[in-house]
Amino acid sequence: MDNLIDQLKKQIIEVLNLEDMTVSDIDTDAPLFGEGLGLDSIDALELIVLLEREYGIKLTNPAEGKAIFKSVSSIADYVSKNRKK
Amino acid sequence: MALVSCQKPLSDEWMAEPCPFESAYVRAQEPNSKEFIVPSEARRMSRILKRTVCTSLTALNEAGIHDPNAIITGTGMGCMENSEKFLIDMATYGENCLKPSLFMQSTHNTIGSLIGIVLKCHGYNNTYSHEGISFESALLDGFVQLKLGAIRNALIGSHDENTPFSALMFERIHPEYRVLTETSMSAVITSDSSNAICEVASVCILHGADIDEVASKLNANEDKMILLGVNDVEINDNTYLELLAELSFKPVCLQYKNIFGDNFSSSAAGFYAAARIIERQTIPPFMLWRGNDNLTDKISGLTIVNQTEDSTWTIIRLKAV
Repeated sequence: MDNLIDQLKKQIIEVLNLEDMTVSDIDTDAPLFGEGLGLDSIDALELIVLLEREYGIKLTNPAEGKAIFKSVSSIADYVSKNRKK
Repeated sequence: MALVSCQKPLSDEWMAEPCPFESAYVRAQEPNSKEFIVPSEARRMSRILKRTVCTSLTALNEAGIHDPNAIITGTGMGCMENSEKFLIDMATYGENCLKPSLFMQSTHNTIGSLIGIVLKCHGYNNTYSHEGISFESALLDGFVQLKLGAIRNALIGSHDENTPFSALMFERIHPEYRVLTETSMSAVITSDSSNAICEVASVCILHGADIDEVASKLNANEDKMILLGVNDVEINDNTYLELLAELSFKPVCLQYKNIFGDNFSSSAAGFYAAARIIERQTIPPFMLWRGNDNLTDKISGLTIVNQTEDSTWTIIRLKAV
């Protein structure tokens, strides 16, 4: 799980162009939206594309998104249970 | 006014010490965008967008105007880098898995709209994408609106980028030698002349014009010195020589593409150079192309004459104030 969390952090930094951040700057359990990283709705769409491209996960129910993208930890948990690649 | 090009960004060092071209494809030197944009806003911006913000804010600061009446933008190809990435993604992943940021920021009018958002400017905002006359089209729009009294000032800009892939395509289409570059130029035009660098006296676009028609627009009184879009390509430069042969007077002829290269916004770099020459009353010697014998001490004006491959000619007359 730790490897997946680090990999997700690297991918989030790259996909969202968080140029000045490193893996260690992202708190695994901190909220991604609003507080914490302060991501917005466009970032949410970028994360959906990330999950589909990298892990073969297609999010069909938008209501799930809020819980899945709560933190890096929650994304890692969802990916580990639903990944297709 | 502000310029980002293959020369030192947001600087006029090129007038004394221009950077030489080291290849046929030269990218722009990036300005320090962190001085202008906070990282959280900059992270979604591509290079051309960062350059545009830097030149726009610098030009507005220089003019002392922070809320222009209009934002008028020229761009031949828009956000080329993002468009390219978006199309590659589409080819690789299909239409169902595309990045929203690239989709939003791959259009031509992304550039002008971004400036509107950054400045919180809700005024007139228009973009002209007419290849090599995009800048002149934007300038003409602003010029006419100023003359009509519809606006008091406007931020005019022209911005184009080239990626390694677009450079490769360009080389295939135009195998003759020509230095492909990138330009981002912003200038403020205003009806208030108190802080002006120079006066834009006229802007003229001639579509499909014959040489004699272009020559008839120039005269010995107003066009003693002209800045031409010559670029060391014989077929291009010969047309300018034909124009000079048609004139009944011998102007001093300057060039700018030997410093700023060629792209769809390069004439905006020529406009910038001409304005600085008038402001400083100094002609960098490497810009002299023909007619040096007719140089005079005072530079009362400079007429910028460009042509595109489809025989569209543009004439912008700048005068000292």
